[in-house]
Amino acid sequence: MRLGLLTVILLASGLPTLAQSGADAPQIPFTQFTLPNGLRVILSEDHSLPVVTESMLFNIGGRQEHPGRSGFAHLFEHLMFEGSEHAPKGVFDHLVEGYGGTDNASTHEDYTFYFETAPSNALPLLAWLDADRLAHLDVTPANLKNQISVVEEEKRLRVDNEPYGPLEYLAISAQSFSNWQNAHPVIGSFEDLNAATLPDVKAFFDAYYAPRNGVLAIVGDMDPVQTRGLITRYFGQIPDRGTIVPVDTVEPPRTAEKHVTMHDAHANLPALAIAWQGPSRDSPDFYALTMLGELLFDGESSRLYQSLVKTRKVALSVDGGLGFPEADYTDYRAPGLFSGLVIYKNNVPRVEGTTSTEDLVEQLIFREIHDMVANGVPAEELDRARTRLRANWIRSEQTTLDRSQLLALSALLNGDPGAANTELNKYLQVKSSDIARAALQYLTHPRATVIVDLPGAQPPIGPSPKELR
Amino acid sequence: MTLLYPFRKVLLCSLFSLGMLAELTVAQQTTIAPADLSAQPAVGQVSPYHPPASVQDQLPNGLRLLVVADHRFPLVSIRLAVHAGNALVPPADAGLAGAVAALLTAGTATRSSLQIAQEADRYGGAIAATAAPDYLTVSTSGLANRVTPMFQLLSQVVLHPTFPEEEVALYKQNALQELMAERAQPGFLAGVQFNKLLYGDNPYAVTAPTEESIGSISRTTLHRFHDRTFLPNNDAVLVVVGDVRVSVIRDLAQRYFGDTWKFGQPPQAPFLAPPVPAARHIFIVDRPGSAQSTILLGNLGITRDAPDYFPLLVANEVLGGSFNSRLVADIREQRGYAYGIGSANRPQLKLGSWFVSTEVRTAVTSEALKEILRQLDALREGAITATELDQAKNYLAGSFIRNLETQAQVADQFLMTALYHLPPNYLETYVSRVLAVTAAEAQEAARRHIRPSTATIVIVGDARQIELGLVNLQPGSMLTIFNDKGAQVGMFPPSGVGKR
Repeated sequence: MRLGLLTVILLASGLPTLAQSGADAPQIPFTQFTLPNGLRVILSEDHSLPVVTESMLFNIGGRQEHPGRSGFAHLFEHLMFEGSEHAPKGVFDHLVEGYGGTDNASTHEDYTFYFETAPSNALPLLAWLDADRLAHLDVTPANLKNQISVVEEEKRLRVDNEPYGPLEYLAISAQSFSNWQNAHPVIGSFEDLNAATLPDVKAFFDAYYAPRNGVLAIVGDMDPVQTRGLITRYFGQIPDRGTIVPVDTVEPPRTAEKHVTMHDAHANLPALAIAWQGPSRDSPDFYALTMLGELLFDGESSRLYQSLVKTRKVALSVDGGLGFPEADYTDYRAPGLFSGLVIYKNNVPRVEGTTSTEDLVEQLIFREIHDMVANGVPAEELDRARTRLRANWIRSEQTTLDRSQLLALSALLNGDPGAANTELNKYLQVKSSDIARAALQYLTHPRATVIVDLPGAQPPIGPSPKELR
Repeated sequence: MTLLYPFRKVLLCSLFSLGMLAELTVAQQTTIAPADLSAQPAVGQVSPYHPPASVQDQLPNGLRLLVVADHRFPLVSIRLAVHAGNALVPPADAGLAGAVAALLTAGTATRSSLQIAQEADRYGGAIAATAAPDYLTVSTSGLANRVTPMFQLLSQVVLHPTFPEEEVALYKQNALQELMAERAQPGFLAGVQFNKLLYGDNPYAVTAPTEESIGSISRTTLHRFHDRTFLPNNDAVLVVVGDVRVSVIRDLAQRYFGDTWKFGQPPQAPFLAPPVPAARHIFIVDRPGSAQSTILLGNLGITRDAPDYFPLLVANEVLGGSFNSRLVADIREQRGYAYGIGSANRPQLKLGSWFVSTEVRTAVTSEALKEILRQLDALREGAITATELDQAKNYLAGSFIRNLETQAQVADQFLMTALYHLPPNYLETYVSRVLAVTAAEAQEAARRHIRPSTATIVIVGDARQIELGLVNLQPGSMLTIFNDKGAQVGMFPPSGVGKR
């Protein structure tokens, strides 16, 4: 089926460009304003496709839950799609998808993110749907019961029934933190989920879904002046309910290396996780540890891939970095973790000077860290990591959803959506000496938590043994 | 509770102070009246959308070239695909196409695997290949001002791989361990068994390697497969999308994939007719202790150029293609059996399939299956309402536009049209063809291509807990039980239950 040498020009629609300057990445244009009720709004215009994303980010995640109500922030996220006074159950998805759009949400340790991406003519509908659920969320006992079941299946799917799920989503936090706010899993426990009541839902909504606790970001094919009017008309009528008092998430520093062994009924190969508590996001060490994570874990040229997978041939895969596994550097917030996960082979011959394969894996991880502390990072290696990070940063600016999330997260984490345009440069400025300093301070033996996850159906040792069955 | 953590305190203060400043500006425009939330707002017309322009060409050696200039971001995405997928490999060599894909980047005449990875770092990307049933695709992307080194590396990897001995040995060692790790995944177990049962002796049946087939991989078998299939006239396509000039890409394509890449005799894939099932058959893959049952249910399907491709797409959408579909409303939102459920067409080059997939809690396995089958019957026998039809068509049309936001998405869409030999205006006419489907056409397509009475049903779960419920679900149904390696360990009727 040859096309021949004929050149076929299909169509001549031009694709306009985002603002480009001499910057490291295209700049995202935006305007912002705050409604009298405290809701912060960010608008970013882009007409390259007839598509718009409306996203809402609330400053509430698993960490703000109360003991006895683990998993509630995430359950509540589900309830936000279960109907509001003027758009009863089913209407939200029916309208968003019926106009050609899509919607979803995710709950994190520190925030909850909602979005709809749709053909741009549907923007008034999106504003109406989101405003109505913020003004008049309507949760019935039946819907609450239904969504508890759905969330239980989500937990079974992602955690209980998944090899390494209990390690990644339960054990790493549980073993690395001692403050319950940080240590308990975002997905929660079945016992706590089933204890959720309608008054809990109402109290949670009043406290955390107040306009002053949220950021609204609209990116894409819209006129910022008209959209400002639209948003003011729809969201301005939501009452100001003030701000919340954040819970205490202070984490005492670790002073001695901790070793834990657990069993994974569904895994066929062993794994090792290692985690250290990281710095605050406004510290220079945050940028240094981000780059260090890239050097250790990112891609086939990374140090641990080369050491563990290629040279020593002990591991099948390595993954990790700042924020891993619950987040990554783009949404990391202290107290957070710098973690790694290595799935290794079950038939590695014993190496002299080690007591086991897991001991070998841990020694090899520390060897690379010590090498960077002692010898620094060669300029050529650091340059490659910078180029990769910059290209990945640009890749992650391509969709209206990506940009709305970046702007909203920048407002939440940096206090300024403009950080979406200025943060990249800070990562690129990191020097070899910064990396050595941060590694020496944070990635030490006394601060490390090491978890070995062995295959087999033995009674698991973990945060909530009953649920691992 | 007091706030002790300094960073968060600073953050909240700054949020508050910025809010105060902005409040002043909004307060000046006090005349804006609130919207009436009891009234759904009017929605205007959809803005017209045209997919980006492409330039298509063909080199004298047969390589097809497709270029899209997309200047929104200073990036470029490249795909090079050849007709060298898993379906070209005999069952004894299962996994050979995947091994070639993985090892293309393991070494070339002039570069080691590490040098290849570092070279990709320097242009801001990675280079990797994957083998699908029909095609093997090498993908890379990077900063647009480094497009020449991208072509250099891509041509080395595609044309001059050396499959170094040590890399091949490591690949085989790891592949055996990965196979073991994958067998812990219920989705993997379900997919392997489903395709095997659905396609029988057809090459599409084999989707995973075995210990034996991994053992038989060698430098010789890798080179032989590469020599036989990596030909510019073996349905090969080069797609380049990004912040580039078409003339520059044309020159680069000629320089790196023109004269140096010789055409030859493309291999012919065998095509053996798949089995035609006479009755519904349930297959359990036993996974003791499984917290959920993974259900994969379906039948043979159609290709992208089938006349009722778009009607089936719409019918499938009504059934299980989106969050608003019948299956999600019933199985998730009404009954709470599952976190997710969906149905899809998988239109391969010669013979596709159609399937429903979900994971439900163990205790409701047979009830969930019964309900899914009821929904399939209802789609075939009941009516698709006008609302459902509009809903499904609008969602498909909107999804099509939303899925052309990134360069990689644009590259993949154009690659798909080229690989499946779709008409040059396929993307341009996609939305109008979706919108033209009538309820009668969708229903006819559903009756023809969704066949619950002869469906192949694979359930990965704890056999001891689910087998009785499934046997009782429909007396007379066939039930066969496998272990995780695909060996049959039980069957019903007549002798299987409780034999393990």
